[in-house]
Amino acid sequence: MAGGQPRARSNAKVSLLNEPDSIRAVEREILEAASTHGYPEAAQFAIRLALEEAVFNAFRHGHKHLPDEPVLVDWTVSRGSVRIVVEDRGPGFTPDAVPDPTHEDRLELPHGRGVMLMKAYMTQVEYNDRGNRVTMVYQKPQDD
Amino acid sequence: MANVNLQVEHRTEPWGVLLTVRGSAGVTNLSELDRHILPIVASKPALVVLDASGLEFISSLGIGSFTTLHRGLKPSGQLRIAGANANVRAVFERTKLTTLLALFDSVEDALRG
Repeated sequence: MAGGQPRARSNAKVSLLNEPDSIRAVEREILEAASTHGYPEAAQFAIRLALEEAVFNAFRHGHKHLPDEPVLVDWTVSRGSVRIVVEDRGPGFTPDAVPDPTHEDRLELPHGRGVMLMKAYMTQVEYNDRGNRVTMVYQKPQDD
Repeated sequence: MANVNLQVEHRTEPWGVLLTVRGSAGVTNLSELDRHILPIVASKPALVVLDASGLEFISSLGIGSFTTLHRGLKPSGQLRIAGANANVRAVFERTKLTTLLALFDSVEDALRG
């Protein structure tokens, strides 16, 4: 490929530290791959939002007592979909037990919207039984 | 989509406070936003207009910071959001914060209420 533009990676497994530069780097790489594969701005917004929410939850809640442990991010971007797996080493949680943040009694709370936003913006969001690994898929609409 | 840092300014005006936010209100850079929110709340303005026209990205944490600002201004003050792009506006709508916060197309519209 001499003289050509370097192609963005389409997949990687990353051990992510709870450091802004580390999080930004994986985010940038996934979004560059998405852009290369023709995902529009709104899709990139959705993918970034879900990734940030999942990574934040993993560090804030999963690694509450494991501050120096890395979170694993396994991602693949293809022409038709983006798949991101975020796994922490914490005890896990029950996503269905998270209260609805859009309920009027919870609207003014500053937290608790991450899981809802992941589900709202991604095509598919699934947790393992333990609740320490989330697999998210964004399916690119055909008319994109 | 640019992955730029967050730039925040606030300025006292005769009608209240203009809070201008540009860039990305994501997980990696919210301390800058929170640094501005505390003194705004302490000054108890009647109105805060958030100029979000330069805001490219917002996560639940950014939403949480604005919710904190909204709560801090009550009961005598209010927060209005101006100029948010379609993606940012959609996050406010999906989280149903549009039932708490009024969104306007521009700062001028927000001032008119």
